[in-house]
Amino acid sequence: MTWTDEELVARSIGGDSDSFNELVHRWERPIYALAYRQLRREEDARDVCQETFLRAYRALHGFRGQAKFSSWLYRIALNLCRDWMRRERRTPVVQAPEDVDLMDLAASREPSELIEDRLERNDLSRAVERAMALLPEDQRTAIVLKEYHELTFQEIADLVGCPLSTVKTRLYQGLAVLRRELARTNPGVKRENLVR
Amino acid sequence: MADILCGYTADRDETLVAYLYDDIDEVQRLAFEAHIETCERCRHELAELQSVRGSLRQWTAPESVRPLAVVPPPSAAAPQARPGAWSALGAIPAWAQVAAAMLFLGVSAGIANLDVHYDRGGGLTLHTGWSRPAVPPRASATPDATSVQRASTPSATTPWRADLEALERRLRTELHPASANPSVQSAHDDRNVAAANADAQLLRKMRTMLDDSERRQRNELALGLAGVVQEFNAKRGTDLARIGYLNTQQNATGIEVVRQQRWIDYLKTASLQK
Repeated sequence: MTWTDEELVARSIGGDSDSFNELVHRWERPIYALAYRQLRREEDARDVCQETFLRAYRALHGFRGQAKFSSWLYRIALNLCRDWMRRERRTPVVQAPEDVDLMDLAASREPSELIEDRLERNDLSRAVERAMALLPEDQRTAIVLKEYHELTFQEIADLVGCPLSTVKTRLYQGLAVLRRELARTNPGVKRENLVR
Repeated sequence: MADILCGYTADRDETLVAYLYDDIDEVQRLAFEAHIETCERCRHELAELQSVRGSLRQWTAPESVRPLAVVPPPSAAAPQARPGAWSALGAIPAWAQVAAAMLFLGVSAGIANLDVHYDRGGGLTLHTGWSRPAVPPRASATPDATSVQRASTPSATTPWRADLEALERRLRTELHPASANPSVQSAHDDRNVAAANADAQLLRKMRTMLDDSERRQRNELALGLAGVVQEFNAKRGTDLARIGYLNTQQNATGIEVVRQQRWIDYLKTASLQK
């Protein structure tokens, strides 16, 4: 039987740590990805992810269920990311993505062709990362939550505490900046690679 | 493209982005679809923003390699140290510990053949000798020398043996109920569980660190290999191009040589004819 998040929360409050582990298992990856896209550092993202669940665990009794559990987690994680950036006085940096298995790439039978494709994708990923780092935090948050976490505009508005129209405007402005920046830094990117 | 006017009356940018993400109500969607049929600018911008979304999808977050898990806390709030060989001492009453220490000293003194001798001239003298055979007391001992105490080779009648037995009996009676007491037993169990949890956590951490390190090394190695392969291919391409160029040059030279040869032959023939 699959429990809903809210049922698992209720069981966790009742002292069932396995239920909370199930929640961690479900939401660890999205929270980590959110933190990574906000902070751009794997170690920091991991720490924020861990801290998010720790705080959620401590504050579980205070979760009344007005919002979805995921929204509650996202809010904790976003606040932590904001605090993290302020405290460390860091601006997001660009880190080499590790999504490409370079071992496969190197061992490929047709290295030149594969390398070209892989490196192009890698370049694009890095270009996106760099362009995202240029965005103001509110625009970046809107794009990350919409694009990678598929939240509705209303959910984002509730999460960040602003009107619905503001979320759409931020998203539009952010995308416009990305469009300009990507056209400037990656003019040679194949269109078929962009539209998938 | 920006100078093309758009006549969409509602909040154009918001509607555009809502349409882009298909997070738009039906009426608005139909209206906007009808609009983009005729608006070149909106159509173009929509296509551009879809491209941007395509690019965004290329940016993947790396895998989190450190899985999180909640370990149920031990019943005691404070972290407990692992029970060691000395932890049982806590269950022994203080008087028993002191008595045991005294007895230990007494037994040690006995085994070491300790002589405590008081002499008016020489004062207090101590003699030790490991398993030194006992010397029978001499009758002609100096009259002013007073033997205060002599702990000689232990015998069956040694008084400390009885004390030791008594202490052992008392310790047994003190310790036995403690081990039989369920609350004390449960505290021990809790400590064991806490220690096991700590070990498991440590093991997990170590495993994660090893995995991290292995992954990093693998990536670095692969990156190096990829670089070498890439460099090799680039070099190969350059070499091939150079070979091609040399071949062309060689052919051109050959053709030129043949032409020159023919020219010389022609000149020879012409001069012979004259």
